Amino acid sequence: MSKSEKCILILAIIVRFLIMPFFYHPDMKTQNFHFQFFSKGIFNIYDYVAKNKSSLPYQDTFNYLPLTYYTFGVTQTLTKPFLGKDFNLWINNWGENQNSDPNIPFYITLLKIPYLLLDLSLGWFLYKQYKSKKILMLWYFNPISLYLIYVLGNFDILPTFLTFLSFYLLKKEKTNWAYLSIGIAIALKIYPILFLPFLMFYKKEKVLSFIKNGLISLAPLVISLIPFIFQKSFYDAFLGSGLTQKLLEFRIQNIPIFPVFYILIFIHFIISKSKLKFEKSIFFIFLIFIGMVNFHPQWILWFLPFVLVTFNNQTKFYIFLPLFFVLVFVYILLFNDSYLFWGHLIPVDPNFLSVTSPFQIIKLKTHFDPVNIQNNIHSILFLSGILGIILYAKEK
Amino acid sequence: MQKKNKILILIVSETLFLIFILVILPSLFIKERPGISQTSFQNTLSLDTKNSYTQEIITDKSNLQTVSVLLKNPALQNTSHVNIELLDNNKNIIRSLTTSGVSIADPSWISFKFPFVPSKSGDKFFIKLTSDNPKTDTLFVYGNLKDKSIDYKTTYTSGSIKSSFKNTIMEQINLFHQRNLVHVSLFIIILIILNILLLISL
Repeated sequence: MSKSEKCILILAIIVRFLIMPFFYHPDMKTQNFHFQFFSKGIFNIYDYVAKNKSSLPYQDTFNYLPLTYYTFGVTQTLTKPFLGKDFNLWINNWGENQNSDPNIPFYITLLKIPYLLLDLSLGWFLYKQYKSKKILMLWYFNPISLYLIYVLGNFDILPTFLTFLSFYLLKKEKTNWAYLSIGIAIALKIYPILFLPFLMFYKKEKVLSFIKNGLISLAPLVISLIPFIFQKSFYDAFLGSGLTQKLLEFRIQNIPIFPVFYILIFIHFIISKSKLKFEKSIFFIFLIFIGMVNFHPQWILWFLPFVLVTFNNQTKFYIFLPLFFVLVFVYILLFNDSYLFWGHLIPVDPNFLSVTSPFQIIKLKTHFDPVNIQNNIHSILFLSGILGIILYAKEK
Repeated sequence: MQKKNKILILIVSETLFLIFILVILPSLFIKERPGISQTSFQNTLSLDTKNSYTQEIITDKSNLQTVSVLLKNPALQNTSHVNIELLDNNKNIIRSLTTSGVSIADPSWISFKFPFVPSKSGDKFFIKLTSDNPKTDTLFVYGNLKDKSIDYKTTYTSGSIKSSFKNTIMEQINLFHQRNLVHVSLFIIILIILNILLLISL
C-alpha cells in the first residue's frame, strides 16, 4: 500500500469513528432485538416471534430472510462479550426510557464495526476495479454513504458489498464465485435479484453455463428457505416487507411502470457497447427506482457504488447528480418520523427526540401540507430521473 | 503544506466537530428538558366532582414549562372536562388549562404546556386537578391511593442561549458520569492512535 493510500484509509477510518457513536436509528435496535435470539438457541425466529408475541417487549415480526438472521445472529453472538451485560437490558427495553441508556454510543459503535469493515473493503474493491484514486476518495468521503451506513446503521451494506464483489469477480473471470456472491446477497435481502439479469448477460455465455450461473445465483436463497417453505409464520412476516409490491405500485392506466422502464433499460444494456454499460444500467435503474418507488432511505445504498462510478466517469452534467441527491434528502427530511431527523442524535442527548421535526415545523408554522410537498418532490424526482436517463444514455 | 500544519488542521477539525455535535447543536435546538417526575403507576384514582387532587412539586431546574399527568378514560367514553391549575407556593393560581375527556386515552399522559413560569430550582408549586365529571369511577388519574399523590412529569425551558449552553454542558457532564469509563477511554485512545498513525503515514 502506498503512502497516499494509507493516508486516505486512515483518514476514512477517523471520519467514521467520529460519526459512528453519535448517530442512531431505531432500526438498528429492532434488528438486534431479533438477532439476540440466535445466541439463545432459537433457529426459527419467525415461529418464535409468532408464538411468543404477547410476552415479547418488542412485538413486531422479523421481516428479513433467514440468512440475514443467521449471519447477524452469529455476528452479535461474537460481539456480545465486548458489548457488556447492560446491552441486553437496552436491547429489551422498549419502555418510556428506551432511548435514555447512556451507553448507546458504545453499543452502536461496536455494532457498526462489521459495517465499517465492509464499507472500507467495498471502497478498496472499487479502487482495484477502476484504478482511480478519485473513486476511492468519492466512496470514502461522500456524505451519502456515510449517512446510509453510519447514521441509519442498516445492514444493507452487506448485500451491497456482495453485489459489487460479484461484479468485480465477474470482471476477473471468476464466474462461479461471482454468482455465488450475488447468490448470497439475494439470500440476505431479495433486492439484488434486480441486478442479476444484467450480470448474467454481461458476457456472452453458452446456454449450459448460463443455466449453471442462474442455479448458483439462486442456490443460497433456495437452500436457506427450504426449512421455512411450509411455515405460515415465515410468509406472514416476510411478505409484510413488500419490495415487490412497492415496485408495482406506480401505475399509469393500471400498467405498472417500473417493470416497463426496467425492460427498456435492459434492452439498452444488451445493445450498448459502452465499457460501463453495467454500471450505467444500474444507475438508470436507480433513477427510475427513486422516482417511482416509495423507497426507504437505506435502499439508496444498493445502487450507490455503481451510481458513484457513473458520476466519476461522466464528462458533462456534473451538477445533475448532486442536485438529484439534494432533492432525495429533502424528500427524506419530510417524512413524519422524528427518528429520521433529530432522532438520529439520541446518543448525543435523548432530548433531541422532542425537538420539532421539519415535518412538524411546516405543518404547524406554514399553510403548506408537508405530505403534498413531499409528493411534489417525488414527482420532480420521477421527471428528473427520466431526464437523467435520456441525458446519460446519450453521453458516450 | 507542511506535515505539522496538516495534522494540526485535522486535530482542530476533529475537536471542533466534537464540540459542535456535543455542545453547540444541543444548545441551539434543545429548548425543553425533562425534570422532576413521579411515576409510580400504582393505583387509578377516580377523578370526579367529589374527588380532586392537589400535588406538591419542588422544581429541580429553572423555568417550568410543562406539567403532565397520567389520565385514564376507560373505553374512551367519558367526555367531561378536566381542569388543571398550577398554583404557586402561596396557593395562588398562576396557570390554568382545561381539556375534555375526548382528548384522554386509556391511558395517556396529558401534557399541559403553558407560557413558561420564571422560576428557580427548588421553588415549590402545586398542581390541582379537578373535573366536572358527575360519575365516580369513570375517569381516572394514576397515583397512590394511600397518600392521594398523583403521577406527574415536568419539563423546563432553557430560556436564554446562555442558559441553554449551561444546561447542555451540565447534561453532557451528567451523561459522561453515567457512561462506562472504559468505553469512553477506549474511544479516545482509538482516535489518538488513528491520528498518530496518520501523522506517521503523512
